[in-house]
Amino acid sequence: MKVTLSRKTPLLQRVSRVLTADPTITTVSYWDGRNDTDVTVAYADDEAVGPAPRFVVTADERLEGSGIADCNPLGLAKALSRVAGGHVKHISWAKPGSSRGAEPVRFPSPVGLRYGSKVTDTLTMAPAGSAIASFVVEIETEGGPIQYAVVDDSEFLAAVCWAAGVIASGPVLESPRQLTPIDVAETYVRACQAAGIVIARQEPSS
Amino acid sequence: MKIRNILILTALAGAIASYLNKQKQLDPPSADGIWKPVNPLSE
Repeated sequence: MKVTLSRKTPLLQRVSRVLTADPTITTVSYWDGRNDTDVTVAYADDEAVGPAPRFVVTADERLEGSGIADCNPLGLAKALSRVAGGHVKHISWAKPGSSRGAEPVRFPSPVGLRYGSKVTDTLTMAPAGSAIASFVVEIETEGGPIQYAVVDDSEFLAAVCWAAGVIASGPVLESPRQLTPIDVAETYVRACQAAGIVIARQEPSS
Repeated sequence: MKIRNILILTALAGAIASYLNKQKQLDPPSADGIWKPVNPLSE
């Protein structure tokens, strides 16, 4: 796949490095007005770059036109629920810059106990207190509840989650529509793991 | 009567403190359970 990045931000530079290491990606370039591209990596508010019709992969929640949106840690958490064959009961996400709240939430070490705020019934966000980010996703399945968690450098995690959306685009490029990681869950989770994300599951307490 | 009430309240306070301390030991703020790396795709 030929990939074009809309602009040179620190995050997109990290995304570029992740993509360069993937064998399915043939070229990675920044938009210069002439790029021949299969997939455009862009922020949702970027002006249109790349030849039309575009297939865009974004970390933002919404997307106009065809592509994959929500390529971020929350998207990975939701994709894990699809892989597990269940649905999300709750996601707790600790990341740098989030505001402290009154809701106690536990994350794996070294993040530990944080105090966050309920954003929706299924999402609580908390400050990470360092460059380390973490999410815990509680999934309801027919076999009972399970929890997955990820703990990693915040910028690395963001870059991998975004790049994974590009890598998961291959099979869906020919039938363009608006997708999220949950729609390409297996290839998305596999791409995140291949790029170095470790997913952990909580052992049942004795 | 007043001394009796003080003794009852003291005993009650001690019992509550003991209960809270025990709860804190069972559920310390830093507890996070045991997390094991897995491959969700092969589970």
